[in-house]
Amino acid sequence: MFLERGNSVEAPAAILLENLSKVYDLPPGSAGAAQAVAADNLNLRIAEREVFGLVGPNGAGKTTTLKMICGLLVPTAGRIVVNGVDVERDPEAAQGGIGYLADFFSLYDDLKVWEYLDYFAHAYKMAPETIAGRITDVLRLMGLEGKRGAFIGALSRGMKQRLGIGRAIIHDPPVLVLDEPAVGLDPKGRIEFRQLVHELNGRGKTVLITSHLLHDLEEMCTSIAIIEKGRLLRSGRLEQILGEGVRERRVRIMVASPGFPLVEWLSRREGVTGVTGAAPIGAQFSFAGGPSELASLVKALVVAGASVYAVEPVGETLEKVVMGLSRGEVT
Amino acid sequence: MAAQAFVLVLGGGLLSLLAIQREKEMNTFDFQRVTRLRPLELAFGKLFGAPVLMYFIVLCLMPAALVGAVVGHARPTFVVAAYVVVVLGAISIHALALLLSLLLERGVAVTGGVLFLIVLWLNPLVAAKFWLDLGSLSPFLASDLSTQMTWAVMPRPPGTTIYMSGGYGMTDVLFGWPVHHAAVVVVLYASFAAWFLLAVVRNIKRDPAGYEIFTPAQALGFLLFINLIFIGFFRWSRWSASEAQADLLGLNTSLCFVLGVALLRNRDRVRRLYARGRLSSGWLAAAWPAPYLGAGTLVVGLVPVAILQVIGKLDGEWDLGVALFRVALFSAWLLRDILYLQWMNLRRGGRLRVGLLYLAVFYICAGIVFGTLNLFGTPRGLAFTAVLMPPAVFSLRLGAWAETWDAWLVALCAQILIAGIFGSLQRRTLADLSAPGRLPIAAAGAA
Ligand SMILES: Nc1ncnc2c1ncn2[C@@H]1O[C@H](COP(=O)(O)OP(=O)(O)OP(=O)(O)O)[C@@H](O)[C@H]1O
Ligand SMILES: [Mg+2]
Repeated sequence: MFLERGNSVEAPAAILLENLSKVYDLPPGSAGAAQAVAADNLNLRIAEREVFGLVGPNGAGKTTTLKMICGLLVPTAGRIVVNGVDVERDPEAAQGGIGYLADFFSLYDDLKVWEYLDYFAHAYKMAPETIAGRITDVLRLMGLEGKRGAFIGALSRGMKQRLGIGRAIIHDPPVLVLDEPAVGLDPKGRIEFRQLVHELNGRGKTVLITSHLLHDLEEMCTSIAIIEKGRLLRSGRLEQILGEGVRERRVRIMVASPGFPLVEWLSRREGVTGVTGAAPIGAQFSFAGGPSELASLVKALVVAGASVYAVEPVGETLEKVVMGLSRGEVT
Repeated sequence: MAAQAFVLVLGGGLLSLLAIQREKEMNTFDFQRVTRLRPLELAFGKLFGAPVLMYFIVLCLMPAALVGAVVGHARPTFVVAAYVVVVLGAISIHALALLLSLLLERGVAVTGGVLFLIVLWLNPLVAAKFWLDLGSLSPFLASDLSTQMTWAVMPRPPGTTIYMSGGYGMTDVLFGWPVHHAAVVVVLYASFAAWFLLAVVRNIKRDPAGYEIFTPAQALGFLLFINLIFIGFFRWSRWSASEAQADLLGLNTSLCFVLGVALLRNRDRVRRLYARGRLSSGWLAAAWPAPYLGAGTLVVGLVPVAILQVIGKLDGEWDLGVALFRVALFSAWLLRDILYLQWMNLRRGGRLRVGLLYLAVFYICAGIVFGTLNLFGTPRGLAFTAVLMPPAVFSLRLGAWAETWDAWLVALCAQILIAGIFGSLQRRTLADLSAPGRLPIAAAGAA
């Protein structure tokens, strides 16, 4: 169906979904259809070293897809290959290369932080002599050094979330699958988390993330897929997704002359459409011309007596793309 | 000793019962499933990890028990044997509890498991001691074992029924050979633990929608194993041939039924099979696993008949025709109920539990109605009740058979007819499930 175009095709795939489908039964009492299609013939190729965002409204099938990738759910049909290993055929081998964080989880409250990580380090069969050092690394990475000996029950929500991420990366897997990892983090924590993702990506990890915080995703991701009702609406490089459907550039101009009739002035210019804005301070508009035409427009504006102090291009936000798509513009 | 057995078996059993439930409830089970742990390692971790506290308590109680043993002049070998029995018995029960914990949801698992443990505790003699030349199977026998004085095995006089009635040691009779009970129990515990563990290991890392206790071949193996035990220890001498057949047939049919329920496919599986084009549309494939089980019942039903014929201890009530008819009727009966349950299970929402409940209610009601109508009293009435309740065939006397064989044949045909109805209902459900609109995947996957 919708395969990625462009530069990522030649890079080896970290995660490959082929005709992946999952059908759930709904309980007989529920209204409407007897079954929910949580994944509908998904084809997706996530190249190595990508930060890949999976976006979609509630119930789109994100969690289901992630669980299938981790071998926790059996697909109704289709195939999943992670790091070259077929998940259904050899789940343990595939799972060794995946770090998974569930959207909703709890930890063992009566374990200490380091014991928890130690337990999973053993479960992932790390070499015993490397474990202690790895735990220290992970705790530092997650900003939990101070909590090493604390009981998990005494951690705050965000700290638990960090510990969960820590558990997911303890065995240094090449692929990370994170289901809404930023939930419960404070603003600082979210920024730190984005940095963490960048850092992990810099170390060669492939990261697959779902989140409803589209702004965060926009800053982190190299590629995005948008799904709804199990169907892939669009996927590709972030720039590509954001650039698609935009033929005219959107520009914002700010002026420091309160008396200037900015909106009226702009509306009269050639190539300018859709002027909106909080006159007299600033305005946004779509501009059909190229950079030199824009430059002459700004020049004319200054000549007309406006004290221009800012001209900036306004990009399409992921939020808008998603909203546009999920209203059914593309199916 | 008794206290230790109590702690280990009951306490450990309970903890095992809760082990996977708790993890699932807390949503931490998935994290263990995604680790590199092999299913076997995970299962062993749970088997010994969940009741670890109880092992510890037992270890603490051990010195006191040993002092008691020395004071009481117990033989050391028996004390050791008693510990082996307790530990192995506990392990097999923990394995069963783990399996329940994995397969059932919390309420059902805990209720069932607790009931089972209580029975085990209240009745240390719990064993098929009426049918079998076999003593208690409960690990609580360990405290008796530790006070035994001799390893000698003594064949019992044929008349004695209760095994621990003193003086005869702990002797079981296997295929006519006397063997010491401790050895038998140890072997049985080990093999049952292995079967339960096999089931746990097969499923522990699976998607819960894909749980399948045994493969059909393993189910067959389990069936044969149970039969071997039963036939091996059966008290052939105490029962008439037709009673023996009735017992074995009843046992095997119930076993096949339980295994059949375990083999039933749910919607998720069927859908997966369809989506991958692995399910043909033939009758036999659609009705699976009923034909397999019907055939299985037929085979394991015929074996005791053959044995009885060979042993030749046949009495006036024995008639080969009746015996074969019983087997046929029971196979058809099983076919009927399994097809019904499979149909229920394939319906939307997977109504297996409701189906089982209906079935139980149905048999109870039918029994009451027939009882009040006194249908069980007359030969023809009996044959009529068999249409709905085939076990009535056990009350069939040889004389009545000669008179009413035609009615009984009708009952047999009725089973097959009802089975056919459920079979076609099931086929309809399957057709619905695999309809193009229902499976967007099937077309796309093939394309
Ligand atoms: N265990 C289940 N049984 C039946 N239906 C399910 C089950 N789990 C999920 N579904 C259905 O599958 C669809 C996808 O659910 P999923 O949890 O994958 O969505 P999601 O994209 O993760 O949503 P959210 O953003 O809310 O986390 C939904 O329609 C949901 O109702
Ligand atoms: Mg989700």
